[in-house]
Amino acid sequence: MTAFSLPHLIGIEGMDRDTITKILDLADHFKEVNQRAVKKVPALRGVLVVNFFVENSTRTRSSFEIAEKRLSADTLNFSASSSSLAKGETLRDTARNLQAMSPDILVVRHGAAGVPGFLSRHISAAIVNAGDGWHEHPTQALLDMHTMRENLGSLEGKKVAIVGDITHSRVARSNIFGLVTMGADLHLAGPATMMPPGLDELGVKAHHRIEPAIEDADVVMMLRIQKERMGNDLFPNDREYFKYFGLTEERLKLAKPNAIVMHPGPMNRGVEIAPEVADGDQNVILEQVGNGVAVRMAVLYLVAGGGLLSQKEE
Amino acid sequence: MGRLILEQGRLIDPAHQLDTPGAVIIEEGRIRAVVPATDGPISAEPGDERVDVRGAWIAPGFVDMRASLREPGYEHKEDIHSGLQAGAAGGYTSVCALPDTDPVMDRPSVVVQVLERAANARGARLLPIAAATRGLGDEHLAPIGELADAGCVAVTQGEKPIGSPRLMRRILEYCGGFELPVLTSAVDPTFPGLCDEGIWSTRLGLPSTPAAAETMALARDIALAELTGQRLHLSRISTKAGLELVARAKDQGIPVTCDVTAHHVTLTTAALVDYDPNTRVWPPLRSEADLEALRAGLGSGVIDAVVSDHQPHHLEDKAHEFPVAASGVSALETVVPLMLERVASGDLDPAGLIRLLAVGPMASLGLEPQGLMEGHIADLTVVDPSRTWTVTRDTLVSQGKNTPFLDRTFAGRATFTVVAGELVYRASEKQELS
Repeated sequence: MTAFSLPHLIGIEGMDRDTITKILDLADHFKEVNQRAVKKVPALRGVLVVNFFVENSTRTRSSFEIAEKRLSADTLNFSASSSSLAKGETLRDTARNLQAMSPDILVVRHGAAGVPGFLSRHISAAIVNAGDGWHEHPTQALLDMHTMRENLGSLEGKKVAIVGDITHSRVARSNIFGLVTMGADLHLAGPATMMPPGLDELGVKAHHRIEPAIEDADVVMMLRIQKERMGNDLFPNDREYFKYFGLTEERLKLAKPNAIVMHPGPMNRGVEIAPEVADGDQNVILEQVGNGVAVRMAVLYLVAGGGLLSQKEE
Repeated sequence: MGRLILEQGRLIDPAHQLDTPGAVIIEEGRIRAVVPATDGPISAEPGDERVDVRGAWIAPGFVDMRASLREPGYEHKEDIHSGLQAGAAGGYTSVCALPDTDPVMDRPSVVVQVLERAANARGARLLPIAAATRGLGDEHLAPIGELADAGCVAVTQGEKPIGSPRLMRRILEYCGGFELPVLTSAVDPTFPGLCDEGIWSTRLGLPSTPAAAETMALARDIALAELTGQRLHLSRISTKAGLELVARAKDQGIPVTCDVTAHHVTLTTAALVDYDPNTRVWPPLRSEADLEALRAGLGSGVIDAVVSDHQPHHLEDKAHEFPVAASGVSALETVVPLMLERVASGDLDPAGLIRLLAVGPMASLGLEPQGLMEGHIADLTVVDPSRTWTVTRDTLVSQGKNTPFLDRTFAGRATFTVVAGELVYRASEKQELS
């Protein structure tokens, strides 16, 4: 392996197979660190990471914070709950304020698509996208691919089903870009009201019923149905959603016997996933959470310069 | 005052089948003579101002049918003075000002104020377009007769289509009685997206507006134009399907005309790739197929006019995340350069460009065409297709620097603008790159 670093992590779109593979390989290394008695390495000592979260998040931020602490970075949480306009400050001024703190890495979660890219053009810190609007959630896709790879060996040719609200899901988008690049056979399913146009152009197969998507699948990933979208015009109610799109034990039998069941969390039991499936033998949902820390350590490490990796290889 | 003579140019006036090398002699605000080069040199008289426009086209003055000049109410974005100067710098001799001011241009007193300000600005003429309803509120008719008498050339609801079909019908009927055209921007507001619906909205994760939002609204307004028999101008057509509806309506003899913006015939949704707020426009930039259809329509006669849809903003209004940033482009100065690109690409010939920027707008407004004819008002635009020019914050005259074409170098531009016989704009040689 040659020395390798990432300037930023804005999205999975455009990232090549080799880069994704290297990130996942490095995550393997950090996963091993996470199993040690002392889980802390000095890789990011003296590096300031600012977690800039302009949208509620507990899990993703906690996962990033653990990753940062295990890498010995200095961390600062900078939260806000609204857009720049509501605060009466432009996004450019927000960027300048962040820049003035001289962070080395800025982890960004924002409700508007495109904000991490905007910040990468205005701030000298390395930017890590922790979710921007409906656009991308690249570390989630990386941890998902990491979990799949651990369980299946490789992603090439594996049938992966992603079921739920594809239109409004940054998790789905990042996984689409990543899994297609990695050679998976990707099938998406959801009510037609939640399926965006042009999916075939992205190299995936779209279905309006769950069954053809999960049939013979190696991976079944269920997306969270957002309660706030219920009762409007996307679908009638949670009962009907579960009836036609929920992952039940019965339906899971359509997939390969050793198929894994994934969910980015938090789950709505009885809406997109039956409790028996969520707790069943095939679920790897908590593995995903654990891998999240390792993948985020890898990403933070790489955007910080990636020196250790080449040292290690020497 | 002496004569102004534009000479050594190419005289092009498609309304009068004129395309010949020659000169124009202007005196006392009117065209005294149109002199083909074959008539030999023009003898000098004392007080003559002679301008050599070698290599450039001399055309009837360009008219922009759609610009927000921001005054009164939003002078931090633009004012009438800077807007009309930007218009002149863009080659326009007349700029239609939209009523989306504060207060709204829905009563004669605002029109009088705006025209007074325009009279003191050295630049393009201002042609006011009044609000169709009081406060643009979609409920009560504005005093349309009084607004016409105050000098308004059309009415519109601005950014939105008129909400109720019943009100739209009444507006068409009432305006018909005053021989005032109605301008509408027909996109159904129930699909308020940030991006064309298609592969790009899927990739970028942006809320989308399908082409059907345009065709639905167009179909209604075309049906009402047919019902009432009144003149209707359909502004900012952005889709292939929308243009097809307009073409069909014209074939059926329904009295509609239409325009497109220069940015919709130049950019596609792909321009949104970096979420640059300067690419946020309404209607949204569309697909490659739509772009091709609009380009084909430029020369086919379906499209009557190209508009700037000038929407200048303060830097701060655009310094936000994409969904929050203000919508629109500061466009008065880039329309001619962009349309020259269409000439270079073969979508248009020079006469076609002039038809879309001068003849078509006047006809769509129902105004008497002014041309390169003896006795006509001397509103003239000179376009040099090989005067390179780079768009920068400094070279733009408009206060609005919000354009997706910032730092783009164009092959040509408008170089002289004459309004009522007065040279109101002369492109500085310093802007030349070569």
